[in-house]
Amino acid sequence: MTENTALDTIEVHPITFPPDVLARISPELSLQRHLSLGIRPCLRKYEEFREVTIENNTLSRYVDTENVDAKNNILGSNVLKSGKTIVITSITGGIIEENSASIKDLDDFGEDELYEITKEENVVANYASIYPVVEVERGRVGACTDEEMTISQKLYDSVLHSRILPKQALKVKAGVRSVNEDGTLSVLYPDELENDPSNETNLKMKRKWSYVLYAKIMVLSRTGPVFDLCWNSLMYALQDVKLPRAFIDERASDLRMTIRTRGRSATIRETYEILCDQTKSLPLMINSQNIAFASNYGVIDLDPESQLQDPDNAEEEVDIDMDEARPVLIADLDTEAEETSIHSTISVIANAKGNYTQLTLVGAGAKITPEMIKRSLLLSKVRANDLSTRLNE
Amino acid sequence: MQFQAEVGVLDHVDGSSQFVSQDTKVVCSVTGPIEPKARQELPTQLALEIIIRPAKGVATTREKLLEDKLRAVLTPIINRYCYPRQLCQITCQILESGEDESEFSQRELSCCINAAFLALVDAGIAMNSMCASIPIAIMKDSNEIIDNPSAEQLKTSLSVHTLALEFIDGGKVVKNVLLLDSNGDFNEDQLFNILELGEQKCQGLVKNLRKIIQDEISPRLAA
Repeated sequence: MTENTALDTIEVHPITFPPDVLARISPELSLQRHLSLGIRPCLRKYEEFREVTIENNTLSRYVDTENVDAKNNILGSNVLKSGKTIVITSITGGIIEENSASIKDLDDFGEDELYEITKEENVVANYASIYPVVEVERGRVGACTDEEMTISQKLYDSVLHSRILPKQALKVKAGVRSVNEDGTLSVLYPDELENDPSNETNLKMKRKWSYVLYAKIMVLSRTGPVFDLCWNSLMYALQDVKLPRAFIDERASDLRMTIRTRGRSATIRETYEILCDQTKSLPLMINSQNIAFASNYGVIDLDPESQLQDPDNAEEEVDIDMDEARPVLIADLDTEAEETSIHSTISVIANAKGNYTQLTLVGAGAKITPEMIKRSLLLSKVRANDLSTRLNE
Repeated sequence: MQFQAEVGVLDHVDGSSQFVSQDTKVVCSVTGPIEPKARQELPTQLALEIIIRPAKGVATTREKLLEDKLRAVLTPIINRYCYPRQLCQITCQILESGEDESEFSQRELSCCINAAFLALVDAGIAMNSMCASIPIAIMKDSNEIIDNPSAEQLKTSLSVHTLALEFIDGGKVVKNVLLLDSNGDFNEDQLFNILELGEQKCQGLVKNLRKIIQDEISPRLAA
């Protein structure tokens, strides 16, 4: 028996891994080790954001105001770079015919009065949204992922509830194309003829059209959560959108035709063919005071057990309370380690004035304290202030 | 929050519930723990399959976003390490939305969260804590905070919110904010007022939810 006990003594060697291997095997431990040193795996401080650089309107058809590229159908664009991630937003559009004229569209209201009314009634029903399609490139093809769908829908909801895009701004002020005596074509727009009121009445049309806007948002090299990057890119792109002017042909402006269905005859007004002007455009009138920028935060408890011991003063080690978990706020989440290990998140869309238009707080991990919320709201305001100046640089 | 709720309304699933508040009506079913598909299986914990079906039409990205929020609420309150390599299916069928679906989803989300919680308890899935959720609106002009707003009140509101809180110790202590989803135009003070009012209202709601579960379980224990 005594011999056996001697043999049973085993020496335990701690296994060590290089940092990048440890990060793959145990992202949580790796993250805690980093945080205990006061930095994050991406080598930023807790509340440090990534630098953002933007390029606005470089892809749009109106890049060169003198020479409009009629084959390009992008109305506004933005390229946003943040860390390794690149977000490319291109806004395109279409025109739809409004089939039911609401009471407010009645002719006895002037355009300006109508605008005053919509401004007064600051309700969501008076605002439109943009239809975004988010594509996160992962080097493979297939059906869209849940993440892409939820980000797209969240963008749609947030634009709508932020009251950025009034329905009034999307109304088409259609012109009429007519053939002149010498056989050339010319287009007349109602608002360009202000000094000649007799012409304006001739251009009154019974049909109404609206623009619809689509945004294609492509995300390259995704390294972390991307909702806030997509939102910011969309905000920059929206501020520079130009809508092409549209017109209808004079001959079609009030065409009626009789058709017979099952013995009955009915008069049907033919749908107009509405065409877009090759060169002329109008800027999209958004509610620019509601433009806001997004940022995201995580809350994580520092685990005292994962802290690295300083080898230099290992002897005079201070007694740390092993049960006390200290929560910290991490700004602008990035890297896989942070994304998988931080379960409590705060996502804020703030404008520079200090109002908020969207906030999502998910407390699936560490407790989110009121102090954390206050701090994140403050940081969002500062961040929004900073981001809002980028466009003018 | 005024509501009517029932548990055990369906008999071919492990747990079910119906939750009605004003014009919003949701039925929820829970099946699990069951054998997952290979791609759903998680080696150490219970996988959740969450499905929300709209009142009309087929599910769109709108329902996907609701599912995502419901998942964020349910994941931390279920004791998922009790059921490694297993699956739990949670399906919410919205019977009546009770709000303008093209603009709002707050009422539906709150009712889905409450219904799913009751159905999970009915299915006997191990839980870490309780949850309760309410929709909130801040009105235009008056700046009044309204809990459980009607469809009309949502339309004339300045901002809309969904709040879900996690409760422990018999529903007396708030452990964490599971979800606060806010949209519209609001400031910091309003946000903290919402959290304050929401805590009171959720506390009342969680008491009523416990009552419903108690009424369901006690006759079974007596038998």
